Amino acid sequence: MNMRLTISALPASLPLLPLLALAALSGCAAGKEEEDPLAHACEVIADAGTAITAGADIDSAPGIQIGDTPYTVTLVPGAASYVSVNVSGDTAAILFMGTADIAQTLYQDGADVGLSEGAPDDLCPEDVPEHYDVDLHTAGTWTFELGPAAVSEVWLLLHDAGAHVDEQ
Amino acid sequence: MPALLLAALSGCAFEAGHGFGELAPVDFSAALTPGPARDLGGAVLTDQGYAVALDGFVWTVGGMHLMELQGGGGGGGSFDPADPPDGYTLCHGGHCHSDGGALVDYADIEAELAGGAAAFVALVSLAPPGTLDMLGTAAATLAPDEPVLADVSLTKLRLESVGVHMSGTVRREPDDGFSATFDLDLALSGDLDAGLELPLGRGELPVIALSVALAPDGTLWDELDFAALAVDGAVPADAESALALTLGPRLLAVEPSVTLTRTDWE
Repeated sequence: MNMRLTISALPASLPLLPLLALAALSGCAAGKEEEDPLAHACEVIADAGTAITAGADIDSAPGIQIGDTPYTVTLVPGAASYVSVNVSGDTAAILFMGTADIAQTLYQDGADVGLSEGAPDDLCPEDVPEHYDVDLHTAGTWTFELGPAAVSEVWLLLHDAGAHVDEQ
Repeated sequence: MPALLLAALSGCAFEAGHGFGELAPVDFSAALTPGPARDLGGAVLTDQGYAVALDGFVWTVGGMHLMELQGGGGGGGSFDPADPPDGYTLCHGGHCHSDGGALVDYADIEAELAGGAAAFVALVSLAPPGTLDMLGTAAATLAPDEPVLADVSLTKLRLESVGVHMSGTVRREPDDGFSATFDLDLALSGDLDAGLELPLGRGELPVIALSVALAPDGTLWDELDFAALAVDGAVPADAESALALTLGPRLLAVEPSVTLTRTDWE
């Protein structure tokens, strides 16, 4: 059985499908189902989701929402592209990217605050090669800088960290 | 088969409960892998909007080693990834997120927890892959010096870097007329480490196969403003140049990817 070391801390005999199902349900407690965002990202990677066109600067960045629905973002050719999210208070989120090396940095109300180091989604590293833990710690507008890139569009999902943080 | 037989017979010398395994020759490959976001087809796109076209990229490496954490006294070094130690938050996929934002291998956290006297010790060494053409697909099969393993827990793979030669041309993307060449010859002594999880001792006599790939991505030249650095159409590339001081640490941070199979996991 071929097995990537990145998931070798898990029991080797577990096939991936039950593992995904287990992860998907692992947030369930006392009747409340809360899906692990890493499992959710794997489930929706094939969905194009909502199509948007990124802005060429921070001021023209279109808004995206934290939620279950992914986006397919058309990038500005040959230049940096921007999308923004508004939060009303301290919010922990995870940014999932369908293509690596496109997310560059994060701005808080126009100030560059950087991104944490990205890592593959453990449950589907080939499909979702990067995810970033994003601490949107104050209310306001947060803007992601994407590219420049050699591709014209990118799939992304901005999901509440929720169960992922609780369990870790 | 003879090695298996030898391993099976040599098991008589081990105490009950002490397993062992046989390490097969290791498949090794190396290639620059820009990835779809950076691959312009013959050039690599940087985050500053430059296209780097390489005509040479050779990485000279030394030995490869499989290592075990030994010594220490700070509590054994093990930890539960579901309950990260102080200074770390999320742990998954063999890494933990440090409070500083970096991803740290489980093995390095275990060494930290085990205390100052703990150290990684090479238990198996493999023939050096040698000089790697990173623009092709360098490949080799590396024979271990100690194929029979006994009661060990190998948690780190280390590849020794010796030096890099890289040359090419850089322009803007899209092209605005700027062009500069560079020719970097860098003594690059250091270790390229990857986490490994290879515990033995169950008495299952597994045959262990490792595939190791050295695949730097297309972000190597990020943040370099080549137009600002170039002088008379050439980017300075001496040991103290911005090019060398940027690329050196990034190359030494490249983590070999490791795929492991063992017959007792089938």
